[in-house]
Amino acid sequence: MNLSKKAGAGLLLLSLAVGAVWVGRRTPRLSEGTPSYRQKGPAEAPVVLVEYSDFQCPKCAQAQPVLRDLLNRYEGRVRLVFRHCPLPSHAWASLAARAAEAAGRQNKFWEYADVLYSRQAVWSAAPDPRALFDTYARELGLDEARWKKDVDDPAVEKIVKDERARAEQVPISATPTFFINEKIIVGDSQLEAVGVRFMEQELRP
Amino acid sequence: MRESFRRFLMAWAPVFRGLAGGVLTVAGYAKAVRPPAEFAAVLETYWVLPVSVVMPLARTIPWVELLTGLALLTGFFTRSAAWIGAGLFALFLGFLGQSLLRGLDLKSCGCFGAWGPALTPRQTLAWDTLWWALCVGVGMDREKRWTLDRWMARP
Repeated sequence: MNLSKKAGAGLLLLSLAVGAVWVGRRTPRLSEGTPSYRQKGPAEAPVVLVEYSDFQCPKCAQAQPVLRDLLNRYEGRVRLVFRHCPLPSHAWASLAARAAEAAGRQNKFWEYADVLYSRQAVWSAAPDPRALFDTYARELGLDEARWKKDVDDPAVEKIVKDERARAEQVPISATPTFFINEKIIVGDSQLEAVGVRFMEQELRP
Repeated sequence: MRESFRRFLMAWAPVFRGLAGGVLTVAGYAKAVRPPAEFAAVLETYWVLPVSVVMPLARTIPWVELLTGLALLTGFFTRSAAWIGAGLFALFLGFLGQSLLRGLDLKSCGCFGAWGPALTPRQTLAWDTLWWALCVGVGMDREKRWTLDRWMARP
């Protein structure tokens, strides 16, 4: 076999593969338009951690202790930004996102999100979790009438829908997906194994 | 090799090559354009290996799939590519088989990254077995019709 022909063909195939992959890769815009009540930590923090999550996803609930540890360890040096990504396969994920969003309008987004995650097994299995969501709102001392109105507000529904559509454009293929200064991390075990190491790297002077 | 089988392979190997090469190219490309963390998360659901091993694998496998697929499609180092392809499908079958035996709840095989189809484990088992067999068929064929190898071997 002619060696130069062989080398040429090999090089051509390799260039074709590398070129096609390079063209196919997209740079995502991750957290544009996230309201302030879904962000915590200093605005000028050197690390921005964007979380794409679904309140009904068990893996997302599992990731919360890991995330909490990470935020405690790097307190003051990291800003967390939450993005809704309710999966269509989860019947109550959108409603839960709207409930948390409505709580956010009363500056209790994080508290409501914590309750949703910690009691996920209960409301997720309920035939209709609306009554449970009402109870959580009461427990957190929300203005219930206002909260209920906001849950059904078409503007709130639009926020959740738009964010879900944006997540598809990124594209997010699984929840939870995290971005630490644009480095993608999927799932709680990666957050634990890779996240800490990457965070250290980003915070190194 | 029996003569009838040899003739069968000679006639059908280009088709097998096109099909297996096409599938490997698409599957490899769909994963290579996405961050390795996504495929790593899929590999983690099979619960075979720790994250430290899964990440390098998630970086490598899509490229091996893509390059093997292109080599099969064009018929470049055809038989080597076919055996590598067969090895890849055997690896996937191994991952999948042990997960099914352990009763793990796999939602999707992750074969095509974020692109469809999202196959169930049993569909994937049948699917991968078929592609493995096609690759073995191409690997056994010595005629290599309509390949770059044959074209380049011309004086």
